[in-house]
Amino acid sequence: MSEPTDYKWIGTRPVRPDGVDKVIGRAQFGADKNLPGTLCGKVLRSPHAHALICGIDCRQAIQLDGVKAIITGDDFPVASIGTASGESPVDFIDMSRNVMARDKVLYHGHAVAAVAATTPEIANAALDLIDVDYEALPHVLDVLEAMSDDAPLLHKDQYTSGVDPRPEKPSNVASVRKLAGGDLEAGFAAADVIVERELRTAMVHQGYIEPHAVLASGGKGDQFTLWCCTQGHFMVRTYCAALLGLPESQIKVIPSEIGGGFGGKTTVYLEPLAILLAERSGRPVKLVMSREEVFQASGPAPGSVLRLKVGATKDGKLTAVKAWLAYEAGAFKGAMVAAGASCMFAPYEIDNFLIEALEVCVNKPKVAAYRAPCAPNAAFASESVIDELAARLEIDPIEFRMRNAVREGVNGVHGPKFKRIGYIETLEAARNSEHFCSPLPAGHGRGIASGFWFNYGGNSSAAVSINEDGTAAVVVGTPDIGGSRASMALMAAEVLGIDVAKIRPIVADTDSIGYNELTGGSRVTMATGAAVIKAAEDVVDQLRQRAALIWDVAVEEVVWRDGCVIGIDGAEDKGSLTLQALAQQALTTGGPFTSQVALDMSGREGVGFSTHVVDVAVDEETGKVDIIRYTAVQDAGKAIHPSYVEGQMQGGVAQGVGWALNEEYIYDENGVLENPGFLDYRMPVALDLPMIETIIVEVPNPDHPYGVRGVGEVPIVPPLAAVANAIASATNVRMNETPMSPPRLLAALQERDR
Amino acid sequence: MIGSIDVARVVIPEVFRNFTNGDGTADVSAKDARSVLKALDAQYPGLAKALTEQCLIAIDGNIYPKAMLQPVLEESEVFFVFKIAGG
Repeated sequence: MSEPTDYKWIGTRPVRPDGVDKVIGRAQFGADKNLPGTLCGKVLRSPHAHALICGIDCRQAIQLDGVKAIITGDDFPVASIGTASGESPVDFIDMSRNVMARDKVLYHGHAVAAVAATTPEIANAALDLIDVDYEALPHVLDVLEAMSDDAPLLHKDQYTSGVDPRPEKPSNVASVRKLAGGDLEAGFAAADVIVERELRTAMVHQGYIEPHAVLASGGKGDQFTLWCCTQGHFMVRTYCAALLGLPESQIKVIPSEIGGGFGGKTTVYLEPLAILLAERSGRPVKLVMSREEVFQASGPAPGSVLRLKVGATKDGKLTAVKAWLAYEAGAFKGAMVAAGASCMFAPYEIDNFLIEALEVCVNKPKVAAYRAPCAPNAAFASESVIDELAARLEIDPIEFRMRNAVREGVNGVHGPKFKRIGYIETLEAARNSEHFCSPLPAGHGRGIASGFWFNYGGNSSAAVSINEDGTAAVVVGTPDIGGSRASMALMAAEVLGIDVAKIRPIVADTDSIGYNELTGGSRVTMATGAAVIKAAEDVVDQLRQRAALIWDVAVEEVVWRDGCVIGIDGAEDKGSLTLQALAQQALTTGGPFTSQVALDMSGREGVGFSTHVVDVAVDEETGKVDIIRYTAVQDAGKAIHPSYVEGQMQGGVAQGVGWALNEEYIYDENGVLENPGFLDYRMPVALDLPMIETIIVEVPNPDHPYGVRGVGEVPIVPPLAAVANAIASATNVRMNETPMSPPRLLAALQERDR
Repeated sequence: MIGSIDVARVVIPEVFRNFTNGDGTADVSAKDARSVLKALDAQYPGLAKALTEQCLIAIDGNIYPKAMLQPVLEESEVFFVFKIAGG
């Protein structure tokens, strides 16, 4: 990559192009779209955690005046197993059964039928008239109980993958993934100190403020048009086509603005239901989840049980790691447990290790990504134990990490050698920060933790066009969930040499731009940005060629500089032409300037590291933890729009603090979710958090034109352990379970004092 | 180099070494990702299927989710990394 130091636009902070619409309420989110004659769709959901469906009688419901269509699992074609294009493998049989149950329900809230009616009241009345004959089955919610031989089995045809020989009996354990290297026995024998712990984390939700919503229009044989909030409208098209047996050309998806996703909108729930209901009724159908439905039946992050044994020498060198991580998959397999195993000790150079990760099906909703899936759980364990080792060896926690930190050329526990990375730079920046250098007020505790995430490249298409007046359009196909349109405009401005305010970036529908993988894996600014850069460079080449034609000189005699073509090498007398001047004569000199580029940026993502510092105060009478000060340090490669990098870091911290201190799915003894709402599911609010300070480290990604690395996921990895370590610093109590809520911490404090 | 085809060093993850009689590495003649898998399967029947079911290929430190034509150069280092996805 080139590393110019004199960027004009990269690194500046213009107002985001979508900002005004969002501030004044003009932005269109998923539930905002309406068409004449739109029907209201509602979903009937299971009251049971696990039950056979012996029959569904819709006869009374369909006769209700105003009811236009009812669907059940019988209305879905048999989906085939398959791998969709995109970041992760997909089992369409499971996906189909998740969006609508077939022979049995697998969690409280599992969809069993859906209705389209002329009003919400009629739709709700129709749901009440659908008679579902359930035969309740024993359920299992706990990951360890689900692994026992006598546990209720969710899937009779599920055999654990990743073990040799293939098991003879089906199991709730969907898969086992092992990372191993070196000599574990010798590694522990070389250790002067060994820490061994079991930790637990609770199932949590991303808590995006906008519930899932979709409007579908179209009838049998027509093209269906969907308006929906999603992290990937091409993904919605692919998945709906696969689940419903439709050609992709028969589905057009228009993405709305999106009120948060964080990984939770990387699959489909309502979209195929809306298409089926629109087809059956012949009318547009809109479905919008309630908050209760979002909690019950979308994709939370897994709870986990984490067993860990780590050894180190007295001079602070890690010698061996043995880890066993059991994650909830929810009702269907697909939890990214290998990511947890691979990220857990990625920041450290370790010769001897065995890290085993299991995904276990339980009667809860199928989990989805939550920023860096499975990594926060793993880092809660590893970074807590690292901290404990450092404390026992009386080594500063940052210095301990420095002594073991990976650097370029070192093999990670996942296998390959790291390329150019910035972990040590984050540690140095944290150590030199005003926060870390400030004395800790009496009674407060300070915690340190680091985190790693792979990031993802993937496929993106983007187009750049010059308008007649010299302004420009940038068209992408990756929904903007974190300010990416502003970053696209900045990168185009840098190449084109025009004011960023003259560039309008938009997210186009599936019929209007080439294929794009979804917005996930922290990939958009990196991968879609690379496509925008290349398209803009192609436009610049066209501008140079046009100037050469106009001036009647060779194209080699024309260069692009600061938004102008300039004659050189004998063509100096031609002077210069601005982009605007060329645009104004485009239609009379050979046609408009435009380019669309498709890129596969796989393998070029540039991994991400972060280090966090947090100060807490603990009320020893109540167990309440207050976050007093928080600083997040992160290697962004190159921050295209620093405000949105900082926003990602702050958002990750806020969510991580919630995960650490308060958030958890609470089920009753019947497997019914008891807290599906923000009053009872306690996410942090503004009053719970200080202004989160940020330090951006820039160690350029060698595989991106501007050095960009993904930034959206890694900031959620360290907070759980950072907060736990700060609590340990303040109270001398080490918390091994999230949430570290007041009652749980109070009990631990009382135990300490007993 | 063997003729016009390069020799790549493939590191076999420890958990797949039951296919390789314990061998930790394999030198294969391959010009791209798919020919690495083909060569591995010829040498160790069943290994390629197991690897592609569970892993992504990493060539010289870059991880490829859907690699087929990614070039493998002389002295390239090839790893297999468990499948991951982000949010």
